[in-house]
Amino acid sequence: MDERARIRAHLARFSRDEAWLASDDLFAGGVLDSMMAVELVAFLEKAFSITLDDADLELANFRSVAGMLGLVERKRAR
Amino acid sequence: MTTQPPDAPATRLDLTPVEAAHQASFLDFVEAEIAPYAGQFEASASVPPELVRGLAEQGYLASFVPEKAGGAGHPMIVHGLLQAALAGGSASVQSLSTVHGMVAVAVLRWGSGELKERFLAPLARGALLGAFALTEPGAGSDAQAIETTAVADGDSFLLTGQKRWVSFGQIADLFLVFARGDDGPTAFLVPWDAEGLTITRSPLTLGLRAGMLADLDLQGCRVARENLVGRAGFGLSHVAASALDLGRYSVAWASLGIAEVAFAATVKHASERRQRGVALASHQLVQRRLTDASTLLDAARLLCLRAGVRREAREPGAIADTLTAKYFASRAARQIADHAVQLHGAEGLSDEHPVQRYFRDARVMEIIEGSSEVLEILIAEHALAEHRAARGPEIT
Ligand SMILES: Cc1cc2nc3c(=O)[nH]c(=O)nc-3n(C[C@H](O)[C@H](O)[C@H](O)COP(=O)(O)OP(=O)(O)OC[C@H]3O[C@@H](n4cnc5c(N)ncnc54)[C@H](O)[C@@H]3O)c2cc1C
Repeated sequence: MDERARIRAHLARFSRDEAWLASDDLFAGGVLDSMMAVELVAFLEKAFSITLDDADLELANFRSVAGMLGLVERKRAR
Repeated sequence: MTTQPPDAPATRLDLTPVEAAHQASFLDFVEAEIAPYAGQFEASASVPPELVRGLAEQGYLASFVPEKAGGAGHPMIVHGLLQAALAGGSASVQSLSTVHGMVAVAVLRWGSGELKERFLAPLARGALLGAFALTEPGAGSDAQAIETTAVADGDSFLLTGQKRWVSFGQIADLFLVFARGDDGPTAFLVPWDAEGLTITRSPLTLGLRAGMLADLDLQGCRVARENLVGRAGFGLSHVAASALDLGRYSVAWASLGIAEVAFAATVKHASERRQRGVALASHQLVQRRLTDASTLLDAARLLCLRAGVRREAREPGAIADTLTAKYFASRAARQIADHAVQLHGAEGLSDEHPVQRYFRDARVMEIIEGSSEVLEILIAEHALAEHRAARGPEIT
């Protein structure tokens, strides 16, 4: 499974609605509540063998699949 | 020794010899330094400074902090065993470890390099005591309702609002305070002597009576900008959530610790106390209580162990496992302590016997770090998510 598919598969735990999965603000509309955010962090860290820190706390990094892919790519490049 | 296949699920039913050795040394410490005095701690509504120093010297405060950052580097199961042992001696003392650990993990997980440099080693050594200040008069279960404000003022923030029920707030050196700023909820490390901070004792509670709870009154309390933990706006979603996740794990194991001592006292009493010419334990109605208690205890132990194994493996599912372990173990502790009180009769109600304390402390565990109702909501959400995830192959 490629990275995009893995992230989407994780998000599908919360909703399989295609419009939501493709949206640029996953936190809008209350599907993902902020308390699920740490679980998203744990998923990204485990799935892609990265460690996030305070510098990664930017909404843009978590708000969309593209944002998460970008974050993973940057963390791996470091 | 059997060899595990490489794809064997990472779970197990028992402790490793190393974990068991840690457990034995924790229990020795608790038996010598804590359990005999737990009633006195309650009577004075405090934990003596010498004991706090003793805990710190043993590396028992924030024991999970990695060795390279100044901590004991205990793996998560060992950390859990420590919480169980401490709570078996005094749940009040254990609650110091819970809240102090929550502050340490917030710094470890989301603190800037500079904050880690300044605070992590002193927290890990117990040279600084941390306390967690989230709850407010108008915000308990619903943390999003916090009203304390943080207003930027040059290189500082000015915090204004009220915090309630801050465990060990009476003796803490450093508070992790959550306030609402322009960018949303934000976490700050606030020293106890910060200008504009007034600390008063909270009312005594049914259990955790030696928890030294305090209320905080922040009136334009000035906090340096570099004391912000994480990023502005991420205070609840990441900083508090990471701290509460560890707090729940600690409370799950603490509940297990209470359940263990309550059960041990019950078995002892039921074996020794005679009524109608035989030991209480020979009566079948008593055996039903013993069965219930022993089954609950086994299940609580396994759920705590599962959460520990998965946390050590950094499995994302460990967060949900922790919710379940805390929910179950806190209820089990209360039920087991209830059996203990009942089977001890009048003795169980007397303040000379610890089972009434186990009962009162267990009751508190169902309210702190996410009440049972809050956990019911979260566990149901997780169960539904699992169900959705299991419905078929991933969608691309
Ligand atoms: C001994 C002790 C130590 C504490 N230490 C700390 C500390 O160190 N730091 C800190 O910040 N706080 C601390 N607290 C506060 C604790 O976290 C809160 O008491 C807890 O979060 C519950 O909030 P509340 O008391 O305001 O109850 P409320 O939120 O008002 O809840 C009251 C009842 O309503 C239920 N309820 C709430 N929402 C729902 C819902 N949506 N659906 C169904 N039922 C619901 C709750 O489960 C509870 O039974 C401590 C409390 C105690 C007793």
